[in-house]
Amino acid sequence: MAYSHRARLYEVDETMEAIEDCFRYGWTDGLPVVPPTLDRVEAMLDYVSLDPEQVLGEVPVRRRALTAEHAAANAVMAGCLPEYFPVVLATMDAMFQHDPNCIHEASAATNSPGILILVNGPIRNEIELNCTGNLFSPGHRANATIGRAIRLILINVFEQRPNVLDRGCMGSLTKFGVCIGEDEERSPWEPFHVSRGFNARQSTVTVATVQDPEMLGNRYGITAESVMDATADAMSTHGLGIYLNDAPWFWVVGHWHAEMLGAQGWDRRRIQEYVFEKAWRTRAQMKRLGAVNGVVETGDENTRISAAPSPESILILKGGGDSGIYSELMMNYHGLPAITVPIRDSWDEFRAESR
Amino acid sequence: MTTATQPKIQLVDPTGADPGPSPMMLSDRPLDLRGKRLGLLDNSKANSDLILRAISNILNDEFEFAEVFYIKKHSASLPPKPEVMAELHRHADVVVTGIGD
Repeated sequence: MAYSHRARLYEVDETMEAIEDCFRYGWTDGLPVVPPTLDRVEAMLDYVSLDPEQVLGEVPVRRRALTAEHAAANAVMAGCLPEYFPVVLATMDAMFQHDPNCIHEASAATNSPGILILVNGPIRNEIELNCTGNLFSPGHRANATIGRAIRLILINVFEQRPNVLDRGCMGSLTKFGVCIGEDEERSPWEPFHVSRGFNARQSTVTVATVQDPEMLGNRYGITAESVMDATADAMSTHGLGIYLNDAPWFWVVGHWHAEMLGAQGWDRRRIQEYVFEKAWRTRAQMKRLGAVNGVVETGDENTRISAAPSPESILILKGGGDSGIYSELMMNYHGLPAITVPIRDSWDEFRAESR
Repeated sequence: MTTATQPKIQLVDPTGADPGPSPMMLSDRPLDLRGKRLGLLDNSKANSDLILRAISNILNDEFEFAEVFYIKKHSASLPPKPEVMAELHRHADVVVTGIGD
């Protein structure tokens, strides 16, 4: 497709007027944005040495392309610093590599999934990304603005505006952005990206469409089995989880749960197998709850429907604080099934391939 | 007191690049549905098959199709895979599609 690659420029007299103009043009997520001034956008592009007209990917069903300049403008508006920009670009990279149409799919879905960005590797510390206490809360610039930048790209570049192409029914707080880091330093297991074959020194993002997270509050169990049973129980009752059972799950294992599991000798693989075996309901139960279509038939009472499609689809990582004894559970929804890609140090190879 | 004229602030438009007019065109509409082959494209939502088959029955009473061909998409919010489109081209002159849930 032929695109007019350079963005239009608008002139305004002063900053407050620019902020109001961004609302007027429909460029925001409902909160004020940093005006995407030419100098700020150029600083973002300079940081990654990308030309403004470089096409990063296209979404065929939307007939829209993302250029580096558009990505930078939205990252500026979200409040990103230039050093966060590689994480924003890697997140879009994951979507384009999986299936560019997933960007439309994720927004068209009526059950309102958000985009989870899980960051691993050295960049977490370089950009001061929060990996511990208040992991899913406001308060950390990198976490808050990287996630927001992705939502602004979806809204502005791909026109996934609420109640237009974004068909979310109840909506989700995750649509403000969910960017978290793994607490690799205090984990009993190897870093998540290493479990997927990456070198520990390679920074990565894992990107997934997720339903609203659910907090797991097993505070008084003293065995690993008790913690895993609680997780399996939550998976088996989690919204539409079992009905969909073809997508991964994220278990963000909180500090004390991770310590107990690690101290009692449970590695990722054994945890996955244990929880998979325990997380199910009968088809009859699901039909009575209206989560599966049809009337209860002979055999339904004895037919198990697993919450996860396989043990390895229960993705386990360490995160959150040590102020309490909690974990967090997220169901991966259709669209983007937990794709892990490297955060590029250089875009030279990408440029050469896309010529 | 005099103030220097402030330079204008230039804002970069963050909205997506438009590729221009669509290269896709609508097929010619048949003048008469009688005796044609009807395709039903299920979008994969629950009950989509029920509504499509009900529509097919109503239409068939009036137009007496030579064939009714039913096929399903893999995802409600993604385009049909090329093999599904190829099957529709092979078996249908006209297609009805719609959403269920």
